[in-house]
Amino acid sequence: MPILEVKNIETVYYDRLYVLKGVSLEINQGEIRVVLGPNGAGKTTLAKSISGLIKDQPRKGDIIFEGRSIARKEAEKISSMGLVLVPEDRGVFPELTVEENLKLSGWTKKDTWVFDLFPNLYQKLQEISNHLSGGEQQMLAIARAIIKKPKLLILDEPSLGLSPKLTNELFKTLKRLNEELKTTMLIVEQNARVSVEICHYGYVMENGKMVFEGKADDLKDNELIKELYLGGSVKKTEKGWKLYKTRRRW
Amino acid sequence: MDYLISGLQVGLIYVLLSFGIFLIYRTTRILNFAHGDIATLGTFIALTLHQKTENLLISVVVGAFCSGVVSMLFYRFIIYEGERRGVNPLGLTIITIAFAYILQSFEIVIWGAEPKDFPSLAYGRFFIFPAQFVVILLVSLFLMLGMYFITMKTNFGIQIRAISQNREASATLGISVKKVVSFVWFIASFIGAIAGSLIAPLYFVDQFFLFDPFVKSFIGAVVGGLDNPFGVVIGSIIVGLAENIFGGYISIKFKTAFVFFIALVFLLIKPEGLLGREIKERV
Repeated sequence: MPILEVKNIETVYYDRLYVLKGVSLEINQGEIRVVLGPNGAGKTTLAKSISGLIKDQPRKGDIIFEGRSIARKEAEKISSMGLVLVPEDRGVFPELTVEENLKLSGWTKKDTWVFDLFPNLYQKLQEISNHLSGGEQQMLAIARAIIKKPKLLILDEPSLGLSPKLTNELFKTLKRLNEELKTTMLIVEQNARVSVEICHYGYVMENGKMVFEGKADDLKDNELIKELYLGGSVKKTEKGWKLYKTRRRW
Repeated sequence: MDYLISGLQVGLIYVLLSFGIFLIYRTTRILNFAHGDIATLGTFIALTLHQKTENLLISVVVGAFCSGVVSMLFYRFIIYEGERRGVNPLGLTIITIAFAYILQSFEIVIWGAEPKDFPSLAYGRFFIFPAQFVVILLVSLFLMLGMYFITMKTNFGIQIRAISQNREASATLGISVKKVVSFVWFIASFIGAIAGSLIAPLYFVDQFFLFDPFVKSFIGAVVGGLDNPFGVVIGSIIVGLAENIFGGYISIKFKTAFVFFIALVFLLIKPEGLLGREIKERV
C-alpha cells in the first residue's frame, strides 16, 4: 500500500484561480519520487496542499497518508503524523542559532548521527542561521526535518539558489538519506538533471496537471524531457513549429 | 533626584506594559489596543480580592492570572478565528479596539465609574528611595529576567521566537502555533496586569486609568524599536525619564505633548526605532 496517495485534488486561490486541476500521485515506502515542471506549473502549491499549509485546501479530492485522510488538516498535525515539508524558502529561522533551529525538531546533544550526514553544521552550531551560506541553510533545513525521523519527507525545490557543485553534493546526501535511513522522499524540482539521477519514479506537471509519469529510466528516455530538462537534442518532427512553441512555453 | 526616580519608576511600568505589546506584536503582527484594558480588568479583580481577603500580594497575582486567562481566551476564540478566516492584521487590530470598549463597559457595570484607591505593596522609604519605587524596580527586574530566561533559554522560548520569525515554517515542524501564541497572550497580559497593580497606587483606579500609561508605553516601544526586546526596554525608560524630567523642570502641562514630540522626532529620524531593524525593500 502506498504511504501517500494524492487523489484528484483541486486547489483554488481566491475562489477563482485554479492552480491544481485534478492532480493525483502516490509514493511507496522507501522510494524517492520527483515532480518536475516549469515555473507556475503548481509544484509548490502541490507540496503546500499536501502539507496543510493552504487553508481549507485542496477544495476537492483527497490526500491519504498511511491510510488516513489528511486533506485540509492543520500543518502542525500533519507534521506530527510524520509528513514533514522542507519549504521552498528553506524555512530556516534567521535569528536563531543553528543549535536552536535543530532543537525545534527535538534535537538533543546525543543526536550526533545527524553530523555524520551534515558535518558542516557541527562546526557552526552556535552561529546565527542568517550568517550561513545558501547551501548550509539548505543542509540545516533538511537536518532539522530528518531529526523528526519523518515517514515522508517533502522537499520543495531543494536546489533553488545553489551552485551546480552544491546541488550535486546535496542530492548525493539525499540519496544517502534514502539508502541509509530509508527515508521516503517526494522532491518537487525544476532541476531534472540531478533529481532524475536519484529518483525511482517521476511526474511532470504543467499548468496544474500531471502530463507525464513514469519510472526514472522512462523519464531519462523521454525525448521531450531530454530536450526541455536534460539539455539533450530532439529529432526534428514533421511539425517542427509545434516543438518550438512547446519550448517557448516551458 | 526625585524626578529621576519618578521617571525611572514610570519608565519601568512602561517597560512591563510595552513588553506585552512587543510580545503580541512579534508573534501575531497585531497591535493589541485592548492591552491596557485587559490589565485594568486584572487590577480591578485584585482590588476586589484585596477588599475581601486583605492579602494584597495574592490578590495582585490572582488578578494578573485572570487578566492572562481573559487575554488568552480573547486570542483563542476571536483573534485566532479571525486569522483563520483571513482577517488581515489591520482588521484584527480594530477588533482589539472593539474589545477594549467592551471591557470598559463591563468594568463600569461591575465596579462603577467612580475612581477608587488602590493600596500600595510597600510604604515609607528604603534608604533614600521610596519603598514603592524599590518594589517596582525589583518586580520589574524579576519579571524581565524571568522573560529573558524563558525566551532565550527554554525550548518554549525558542518556539516563541521561531513563530515570531516564520509561522508557516514553525507549523511544518509540528509546533502548535495556536497553543504557543495563546500562552504568549497570557504572559503579556499577566505582566501587564502586574504593571497595572504596581502603578495603581499612584493614580485613582477607574476603567481608563491605564490608558495614558498604555499610550506612553506604546510610544516607548516604537521609540526603542517594536521588533527588538532590548529596544522596547530602553525606549520605555527613555519615555518615562523624559516625561518626568521635562514635567519637573520645564512644564508639567506639556509633559505628555513632549512625549509625543519625542515619538515624532524619532519616527522622522529613525523610523525603525533605536534598536529596531531597518526595513529595506528590494527594487
